[in-house]
Amino acid sequence: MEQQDSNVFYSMLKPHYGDALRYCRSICANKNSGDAEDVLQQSFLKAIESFEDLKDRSKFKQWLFRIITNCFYDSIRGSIWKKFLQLDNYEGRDNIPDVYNQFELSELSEVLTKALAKLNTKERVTLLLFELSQFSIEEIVEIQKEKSLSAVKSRLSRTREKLKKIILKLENSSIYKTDDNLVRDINNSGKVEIL
Amino acid sequence: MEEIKSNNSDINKYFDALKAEDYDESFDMVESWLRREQFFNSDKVKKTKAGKIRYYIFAHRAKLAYIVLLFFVTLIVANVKVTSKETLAGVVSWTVDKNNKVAIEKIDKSEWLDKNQLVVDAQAGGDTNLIKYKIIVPDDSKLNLEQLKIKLEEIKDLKYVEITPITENVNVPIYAAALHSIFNSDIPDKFVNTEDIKQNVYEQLKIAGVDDDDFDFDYASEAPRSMKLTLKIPQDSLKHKIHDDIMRNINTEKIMENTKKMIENMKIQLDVNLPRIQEEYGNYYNYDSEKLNKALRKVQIKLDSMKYRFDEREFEKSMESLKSLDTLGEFINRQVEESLRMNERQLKMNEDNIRRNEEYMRKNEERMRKNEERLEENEEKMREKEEELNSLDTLDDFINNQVETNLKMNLLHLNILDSLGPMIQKQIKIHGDMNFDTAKFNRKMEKMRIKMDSLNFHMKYYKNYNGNEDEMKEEKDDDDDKPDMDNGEQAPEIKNDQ
Repeated sequence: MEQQDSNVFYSMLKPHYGDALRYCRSICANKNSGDAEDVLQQSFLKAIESFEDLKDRSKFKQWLFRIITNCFYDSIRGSIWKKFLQLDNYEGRDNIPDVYNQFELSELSEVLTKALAKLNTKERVTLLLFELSQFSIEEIVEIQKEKSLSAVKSRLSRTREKLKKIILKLENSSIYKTDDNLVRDINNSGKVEIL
Repeated sequence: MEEIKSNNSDINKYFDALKAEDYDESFDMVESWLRREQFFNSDKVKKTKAGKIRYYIFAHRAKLAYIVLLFFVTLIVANVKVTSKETLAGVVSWTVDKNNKVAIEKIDKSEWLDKNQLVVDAQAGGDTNLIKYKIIVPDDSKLNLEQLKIKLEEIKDLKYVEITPITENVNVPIYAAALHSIFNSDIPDKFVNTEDIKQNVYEQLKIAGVDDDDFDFDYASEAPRSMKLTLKIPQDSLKHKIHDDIMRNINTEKIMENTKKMIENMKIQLDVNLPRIQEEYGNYYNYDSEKLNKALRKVQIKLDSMKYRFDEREFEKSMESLKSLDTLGEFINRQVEESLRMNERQLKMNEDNIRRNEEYMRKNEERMRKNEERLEENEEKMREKEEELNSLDTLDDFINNQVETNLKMNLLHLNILDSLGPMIQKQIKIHGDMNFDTAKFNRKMEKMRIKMDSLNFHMKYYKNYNGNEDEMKEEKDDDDDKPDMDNGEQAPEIKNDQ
């Protein structure tokens, strides 16, 4: 890739950078932040490698999110190989900078992340593309390579209801009082934080 | 915190919170990392196809190394020889009480049981009250051993249903054993010794209670490996019907032999008789020798097929048809003889008829001759009468002559009428159905008699009148009171009628 193209890529990436990170972290809600960074790293590398192939640059965001989604699916499928062949990914390369651990999530974001983790992959991806990344139904159909709009619509509606119930359940189960302190389970590891 | 406690089900606030997370500060850091990576990869990534392949291999070199290593390890491990036991067949045995007809019939009628492989021992273990059945079920048969056992156990009163698997030791690589166990696919065993396997199988059969003398052993070491045990004795239902024979003291083989002899005799009888009849009587008697031979052939085939499947009902049916065939030969002979006898009778009857006709003709001729003679006589009499009449000179002579003649004739008639009564009665007796009206007849006779009487009177009167007219008048006056009498003027009419 020429230097000029490279600059274009970064200039086009910058406005969607935050969305991409949030999306990537949220779809990896059931994993740790390291996994989310791996997906992000693979996605950016693939994006810069194949940027030249992108004909319609007006669809950059859609194209980028498709790459992230595919990398996420690949990360799920390739988990067995990863255990054995970590070398392939890291040998001779620097890892992506630690982008997620630098920032603490807000309480609401944490609850949402926990709730998202309880959804299945496809539901989670669809919901996040719509609610978080603000894609239209038609764009989601294209990114997820779906066959019909109605399938995405019904999935969205179903997932939203499901998510509401999960959040409600989480809210009810995670809050209780011991003495005068409010105790809340906030970590995946099961640690209890006393506020 | 308050927000969490509020149980707000609106999820938008959560997404808004997520959207509010700001990662933009890290962009420069990521950009510089990405630029470095881009630079690092730029040397390796070529736009040519070969470059792409080289890059792919370099990028996945560890993965490829693992794959190659795994392949060789698998290859080595898979070729390690192992000895495995494989089931070739199974011997299922059970016993049943000899008097338990229901159970025995159920075994006989069971379609899922291959009768050709069934061995029946009528004196199981020296016990004459038990029948022991044994069947060899090949591993590749439709009904596996367990299914067979379940089906057998469904028949009540069967004792000791046992399965003895017949196995072979196979020396094959691990992969072949795995293929056999997972996909039931066989790899040829190059180290197999058929004789050893045969010996091994026979030993196992002996343990299972099956005598090796009964079977021919056939083993195919080539894939798919298979063992075939076939009964040496030609398998027909004679073998599996043994218990029936014992129960009913039937010597089936002897019956078959006798039947065959009978058919041969029948053939000879027909072969000899039919041409003879044909020759002797030509086509006059319409029997169909082809049909007869066809029927005979059918019976022969039936009996031959019984060799393979002895069915008592079938046998009896064939015997019946044989019997009918037997009588058919006799029937033809009898028919011929009867027809000949009938012909003779017919000829005799014809001769009698001719004789009777001749006799009748002869009598007729005689009768005609007599009639002719009578006619001649009558003609003679007529001539005489004519002469006599011609010779009469006066009317008186003529009248006298006529009266005399009439009287004679009337008397003759009266005699006939007298004799007619008994004759008619006799006729009625003989031919009851004839329509004789005796009353009518008698009335006629009576009328005739009255006529005769009146005629007699007329004659007398005429005679008297001829002599004395006055006297006659007086007599006439006297006779007016008599109702039966006619007047004198009617007399000539009567005379004319006569």
